Amino acid sequence: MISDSSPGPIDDGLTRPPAVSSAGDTAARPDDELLIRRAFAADAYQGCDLLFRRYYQPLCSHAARFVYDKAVAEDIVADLFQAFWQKKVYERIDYSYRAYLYQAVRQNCFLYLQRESGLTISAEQALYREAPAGASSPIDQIQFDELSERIDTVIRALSPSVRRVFLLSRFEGRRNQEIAGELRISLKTVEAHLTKALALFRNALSHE
Amino acid sequence: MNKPQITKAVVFAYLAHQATPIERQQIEAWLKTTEGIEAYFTYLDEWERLFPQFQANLEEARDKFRKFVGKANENDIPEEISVTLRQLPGKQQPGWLHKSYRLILAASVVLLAGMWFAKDLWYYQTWTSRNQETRTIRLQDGSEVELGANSSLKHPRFGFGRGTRHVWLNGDAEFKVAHLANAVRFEVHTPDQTVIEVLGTEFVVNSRPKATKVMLRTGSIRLTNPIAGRPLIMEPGDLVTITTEKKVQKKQLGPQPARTNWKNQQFEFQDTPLKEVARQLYDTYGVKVEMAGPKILNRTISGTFQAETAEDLLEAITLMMKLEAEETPEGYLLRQPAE
Repeated sequence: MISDSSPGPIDDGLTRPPAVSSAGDTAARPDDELLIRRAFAADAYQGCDLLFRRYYQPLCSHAARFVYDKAVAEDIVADLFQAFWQKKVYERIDYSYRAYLYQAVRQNCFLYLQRESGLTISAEQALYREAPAGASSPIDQIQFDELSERIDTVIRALSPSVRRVFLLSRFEGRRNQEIAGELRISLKTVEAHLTKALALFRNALSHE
Repeated sequence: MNKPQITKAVVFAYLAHQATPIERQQIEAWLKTTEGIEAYFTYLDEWERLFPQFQANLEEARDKFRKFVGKANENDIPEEISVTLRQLPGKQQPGWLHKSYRLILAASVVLLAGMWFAKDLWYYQTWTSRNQETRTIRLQDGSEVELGANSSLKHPRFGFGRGTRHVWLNGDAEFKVAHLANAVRFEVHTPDQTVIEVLGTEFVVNSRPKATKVMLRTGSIRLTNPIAGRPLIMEPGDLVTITTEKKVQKKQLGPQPARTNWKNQQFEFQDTPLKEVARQLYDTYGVKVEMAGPKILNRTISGTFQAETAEDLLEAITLMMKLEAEETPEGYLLRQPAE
């Protein structure tokens, strides 16, 4: 082992999950967040920044699978990091930062959807209001996966024209008027498509 | 009881909503273990990187987060070294060669000959960076050069910017070449006789004993090398690698090529043999790493690492690959731990 004789300021960490090629080694996983944890020990901001750099983009992508809106997904992840910093959540991470961040993002997406649709989704899911710092019970994760599957199915089932308008509006940041001009349809049609998509989207949430 | 093996492929299928009911049930059981849940999020993260729904703007969000935390951007005040160049002496008028000056001339010739041999010292300005040090050099023509660790850059001390601008690079550097009104060329020379000829552009050169790599961000470059038969024209995003095995290879990296590794002490490995990792450690930090046995030499590693010192990187590698590092007088020796 290398002796760690210089615990000075550390600015290191991993920006992508590393993987080691060693045949048949699935049980023992390398501790790829070691350097990030060491950065936290030296300077909390350094650690947060390393986490931000490493996980911000995939977390946003993950959030988009639930909220189906680029701007909302980015806000949810940015808010999560701000809370992570402000409440010093990083001091209470028992498992990996990764597990915490993904769980919290799922949780916050869920809360957002609930707020937006004004619906209570299902009694079980509504129980998990606060994202715990450690790993939560596995049942949640399955439920989140099921929720994302439901949303996925609904979006797939939209008629091509409705889906196109919906995605242009939520992922390309286009205004209704712009979409109408681009697709050569009336503004009314755009609005009708969006209303329809949203209604079906909410339907997916109230399922069960 | 034989526990079902949850492979990455099964988890990926599950995440894509394509798992069979049996697989789903197995995953459910697997998620009840700590090991399972950790692995699940590792795979989820990997999957999300493989199939991103969109690319969020990282730099903008990071900036906002930094402001929220209340940290000033350290990158706002880069350390800069300005190079001041003296003007060339004005042209002499003809007819100055008078008899009485002959002696002076003879003495001058001797002096000039001496100066010719020592011209590396006075004619060129040389910038050197040590291990773990990068420096920014601003040339008189407005061009900027960021010199990587363990590198050196040489350019004429006088009259730089008049006529073709020549610089000689040994190591890594990122160039932001200023475009001059009279369109004078800028040429980078590397020890393997590669010449990179540009007008005004941004590019990165990585010239190490084993290979020279040139990556172009914007603009265009004409690259010549004795190995390549004819000049290579590079477009933004191109990466050209010239190895000592007399190979020239061009690769398109896409419009926004990855960041250069040395600049942030970042190492990017993609199925990279440890042999190669050791070479990079030597190039960047001057640390010699040897392996006990050919078996270790050929093991590969993937991932992006940021490490301030060679020891940081070595520690991560040894932990991940379950190796032991032993300090030797020359550097480190990596070995398989005794069973």
